[in-house]
Amino acid sequence: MKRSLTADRIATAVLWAVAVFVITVLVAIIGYFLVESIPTFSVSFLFSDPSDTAIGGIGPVLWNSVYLLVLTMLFTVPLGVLGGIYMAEYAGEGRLTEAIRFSQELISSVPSIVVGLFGFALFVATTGWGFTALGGALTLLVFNLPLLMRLSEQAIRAVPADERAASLALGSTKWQTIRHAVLPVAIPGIVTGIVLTAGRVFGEAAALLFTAGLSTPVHYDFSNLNLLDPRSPWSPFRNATTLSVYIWKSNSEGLGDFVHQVANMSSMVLIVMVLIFNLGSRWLGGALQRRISGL
Amino acid sequence: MTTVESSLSRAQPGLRARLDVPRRITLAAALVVIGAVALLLGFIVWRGLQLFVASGVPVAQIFTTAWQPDPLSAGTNYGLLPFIGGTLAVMAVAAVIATPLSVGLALFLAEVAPGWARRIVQPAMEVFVGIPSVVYGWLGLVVLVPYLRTQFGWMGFATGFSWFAGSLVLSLMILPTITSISYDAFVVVPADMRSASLALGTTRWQAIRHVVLPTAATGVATAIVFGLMRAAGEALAVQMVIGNAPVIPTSLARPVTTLTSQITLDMSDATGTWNEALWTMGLVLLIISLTFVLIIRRLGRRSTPA
Amino acid sequence: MQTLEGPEPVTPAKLAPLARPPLEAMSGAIGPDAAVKLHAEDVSVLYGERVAVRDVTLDVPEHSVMAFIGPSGCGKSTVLRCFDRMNDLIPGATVRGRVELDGEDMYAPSVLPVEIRRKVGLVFQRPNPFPMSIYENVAYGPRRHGQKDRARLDEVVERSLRQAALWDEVKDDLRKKSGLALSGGQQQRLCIARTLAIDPEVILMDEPCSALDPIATLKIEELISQLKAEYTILIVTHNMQQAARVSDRTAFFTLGEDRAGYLVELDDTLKIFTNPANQLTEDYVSGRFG
Repeated sequence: MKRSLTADRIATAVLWAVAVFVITVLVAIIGYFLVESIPTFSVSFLFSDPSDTAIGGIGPVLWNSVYLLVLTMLFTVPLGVLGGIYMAEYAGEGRLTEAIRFSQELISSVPSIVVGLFGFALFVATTGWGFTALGGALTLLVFNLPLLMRLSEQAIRAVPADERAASLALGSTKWQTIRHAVLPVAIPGIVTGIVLTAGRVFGEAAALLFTAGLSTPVHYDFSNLNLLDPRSPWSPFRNATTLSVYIWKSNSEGLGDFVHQVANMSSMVLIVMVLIFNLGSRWLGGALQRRISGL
Repeated sequence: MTTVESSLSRAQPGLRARLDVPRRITLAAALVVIGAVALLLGFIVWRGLQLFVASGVPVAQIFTTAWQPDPLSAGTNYGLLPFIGGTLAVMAVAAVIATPLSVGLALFLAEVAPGWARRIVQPAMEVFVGIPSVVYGWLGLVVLVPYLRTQFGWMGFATGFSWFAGSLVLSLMILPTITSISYDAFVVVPADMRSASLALGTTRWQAIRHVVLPTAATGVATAIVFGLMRAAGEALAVQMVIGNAPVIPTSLARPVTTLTSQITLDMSDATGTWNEALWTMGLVLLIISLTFVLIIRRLGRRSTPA
Repeated sequence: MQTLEGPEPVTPAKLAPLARPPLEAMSGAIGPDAAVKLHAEDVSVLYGERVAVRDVTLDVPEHSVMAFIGPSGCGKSTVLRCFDRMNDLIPGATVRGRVELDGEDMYAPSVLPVEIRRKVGLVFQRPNPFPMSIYENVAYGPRRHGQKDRARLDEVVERSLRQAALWDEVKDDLRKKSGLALSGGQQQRLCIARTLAIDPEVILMDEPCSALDPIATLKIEELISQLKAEYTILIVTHNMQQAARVSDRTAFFTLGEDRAGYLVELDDTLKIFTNPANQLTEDYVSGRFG
């Protein structure tokens, strides 16, 4: 009796200690980057060009992150949502469904560096494009697609059966039911999925090293709107080093004082961006939910 | 709906139903995943085999320990054992560090935490998941590695770059993975199992230890395998702190290397047979993750008996 | 047979086939001189601000069966769980008043819920065996309480299963068969055996037959009558025939105007069902109350 009570108290204390420890580590990580970056941070850091002699900025690489994000989602969203609809509404029990599921699981488990190798083999070497934003985006599509498909499928499956039954009872076809009864209800979940997927694009680096390229852009001329000109920041056929890749590069290029500082600040920016995506997805999903149920 | 459409559907209901365009379109989207997997497997396997096929390196050679890839030096040897061993070693120690913390945290969330604590820890876990791996790597590089070098040099951390540093950084990265999957396994243990134990006069810890944990064991195992899988595949964070020495890991304090970090480092420069060996490393990684997928599937079947 | 669900009038004629002793004999058996096992005084249970049950005062004599009846939501299960401090597990629930076991305050600061629950067993509404073998299910309590001796455990398991009238049905695959592989009625008897194995003094049963078929129900009811000799039993039931068949005394609860449950009447079972003092009780047992 006494022993089991003591064991209970010790175990409870240990579990609390674990939680406090993990939270402390997290706070320490975020705190470190805050403390390190705030003294030298300014808004212009986000928009100005990098420099070899001073702190400079991360304008071009930040632009590339955003650009790649949009480009990736341009492919991922339609394919992911449509695929999710298929898996939730049409897929039966057969071998095909099983094969799709297995493929989803498999891709989600393949290390991103291997996906990067694949992207290199297909979108850089085979196509002859070289390192391009488009190649990077297509590579990211490969491992974001299964995720978004699964999240969309879950959102659609979560729609109550009554919604479907009511629509089908009114004589609507299956597609009309999906389009007008199911999707509107599933939208908040799908949007949450999209934003979460997008957040991953921002943080990913390993898959982009050998696809979107590693060279640091010096200056972008945003007035150059020629989409086929590799110097135009708007062109998908150009080197597009993202913020994450840029941070990784810092470690291979000597640790000069300001390189160090730039990497710290960039890390902070990256963390904040990813946080915005995480919190944003929840907020947006919730807001849409209220809006839809309010209507 | 437009009148044209409705008149069409009235005129030829059979045809429209047979075609079922939406079904075909969504199916096509879903098939992209299969296509991507097929292409990925095809490319990685094909390029991964070139080392043996095109360059004629005997398969047995990759199971040796000497890594002498430079074609300019005399006597090349493409032993991949240091990389495979390093990957497994770094992964294993990371799991050893992360598992007790993660399972403890999951138990805390599922069994012990009052509402307010859960409202702090759960969002914090999401932040943990969200931090990109390069950030962990960078932190390891500028904080952990110098710390190990200056404070624990006497334990053999000559440079700080080490097996241990790699595992420690990885353990942070897989902590949220193991936590969230084991948490899911704990919360599906029916509440009345706990009540049944407590009603028999056991303490909460006895209920956890003898009912919740055994019931959730398969789920926790799955969580750990997911963690291992993620650890084996992580590239950049590990590469930044591990020291990248192609040796068989023998000391936690010494630099080692992994499959992922070697690919990361050499891919842009290596040519010829050296390059082919990197693709073979990619293939090995693929086989490792495939093995994990199969283990997870098997565990999944065990937890839901037919 | 009568339906198991819902109130149905119980008349003396219906009770007759059960061969009950006459009223005088029955009240004599548990007369005022019988020792009080459980005692509640002005017990109220609150969920947050809301009063779920108010001002319950009652005595449970030793070696008797008391039934709690009443419409759903009237707090009879809540009162039941005051007697083994299971309400402690519900966040926000508070118990006011005084609850005694053998004259000792159960809620005194020095008393640990764990001690109470070892003396007061609880059988749940839905059978909830652990996902382990039958043997391990029954041995669970004794093992947790420090019993390591194999021979003693074997003994306890056999005795408990025999008491729960399950031994003959399961003795051949005690260690192989999972508790979950049994039928619903067997599972409930397993849960009773599991409770008996910790050697409690009181057994609380929270609608133990509501998930069972009539035959399994009958078995449990027979069991309750036998267990009375050694244990004090409190049973919550929504089935009035069951209350009439198994209990010596019956407490009728209902829901007040303030949405809080309260004890309307407590008396010998036969009296409650034939000649209740309160009109509300009369309405309920005669089926005039939904």
